[in-house]
Amino acid sequence: MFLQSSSFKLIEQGKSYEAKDFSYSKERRSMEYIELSGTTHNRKQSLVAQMLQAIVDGIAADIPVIFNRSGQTMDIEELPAEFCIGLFTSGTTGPAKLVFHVLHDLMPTNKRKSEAASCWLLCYHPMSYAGLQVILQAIAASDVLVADVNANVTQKAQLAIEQQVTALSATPSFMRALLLCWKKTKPLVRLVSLGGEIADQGTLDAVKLNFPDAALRHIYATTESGVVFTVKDGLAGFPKTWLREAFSGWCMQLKDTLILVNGKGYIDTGDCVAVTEDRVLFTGRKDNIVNVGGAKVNLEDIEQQLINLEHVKDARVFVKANPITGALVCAEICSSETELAKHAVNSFCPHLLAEARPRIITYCEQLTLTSAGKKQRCL
Amino acid sequence: MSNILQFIVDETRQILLQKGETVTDITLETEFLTDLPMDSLDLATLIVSLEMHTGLDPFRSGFKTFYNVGQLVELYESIEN
Repeated sequence: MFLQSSSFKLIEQGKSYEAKDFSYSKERRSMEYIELSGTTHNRKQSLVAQMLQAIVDGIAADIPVIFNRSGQTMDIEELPAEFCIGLFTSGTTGPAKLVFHVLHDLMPTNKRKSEAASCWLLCYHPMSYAGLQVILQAIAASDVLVADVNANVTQKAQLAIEQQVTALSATPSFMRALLLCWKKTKPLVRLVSLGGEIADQGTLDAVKLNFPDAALRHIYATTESGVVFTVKDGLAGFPKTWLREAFSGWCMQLKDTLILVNGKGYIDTGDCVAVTEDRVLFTGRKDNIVNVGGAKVNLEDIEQQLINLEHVKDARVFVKANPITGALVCAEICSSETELAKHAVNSFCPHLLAEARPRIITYCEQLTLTSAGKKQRCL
Repeated sequence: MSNILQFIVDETRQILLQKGETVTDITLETEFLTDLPMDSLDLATLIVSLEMHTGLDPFRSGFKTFYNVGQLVELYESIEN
């Protein structure tokens, strides 16, 4: 069963939990489903511990468990009749959607490879798909998991040192931020798993330089397909020869973007690729959704909101590459009333998510366009 | 004080003021993420501003590690020369 056979240990916000600390509380047996919110109120207490308790209760009462990361209004049309886990999608391509997963499909198949338990630092939000995978991975392998949902990257870096973390699963942006926080002292990391955005060669090399003995892998997954493949050779992209093979039931085809094909149909991943002599490299998103420090940001969406402001005639929202967060949102605002437009833009921007907020804003009378007359998105 | 150092200090101050933070003294030894109320997005803003201002990008050849003001100045001065 879920936790019983595991000697898993959770260290969350200074408290330590073991599998035996999570037993069926019975009070939830008459409920139709269990919902746990990831918003501020619950985050004051140990959120991962609350999630594990909810899963234990959900299994015992055979009812669905819903992890509502950002407190979304739920409109459940068809509630599953038995235990499963509901997670909200990131909302990249539309409103966040509640998707139910069977625990068996979420459970990683990796068993512990060495004698010693790994100590994982939870770098993702525990109620995200990737975060839940890290939690379940630690349980499946009877490992130790260190979590603090309220800690920022500097505090997480410190936590990794204090708790002697040995395994990290993070986005390349988060990994770069961690490397910037560790100076003379850093944890003895043996396993680094990167995912969620492009793992470029510079980041892979920086990880290898800092942790020469660590196993380094980067994972390619999409919301629709789940994990497709894992690259373990420390090089960006994946070997060209893989185009002739199948991974997790998917074959890969290249057009402008990577297309995944299986017996039932195909998925256009929207991930642009470039082919070199022996590798296939990812170059960015086909649509205008960019990854800023691990968060997905829709440039056209922000742009439209800026254009709707008073005194703003037009706007171009674009990104500048940088080594810290991968991309940084910038904006060019077209207005004939610069001071009034500035006031409107400055009042509006704090309402955006930190990652989506244009950090460098210039004002002009005409926007910079490409030779094809389009708005340039990447500089 | 070199131009690049002056720009880094001024721009860091500006980023912090916009966040509503009180700005203390910034020296060559000041560490961005440890000594100042900066997060990784603020640091990214500083790097992009520097590139736009100087036209220089010391990270073009890959990610380089730096912690304090002095180390960042060195990165820019090494490609400037």
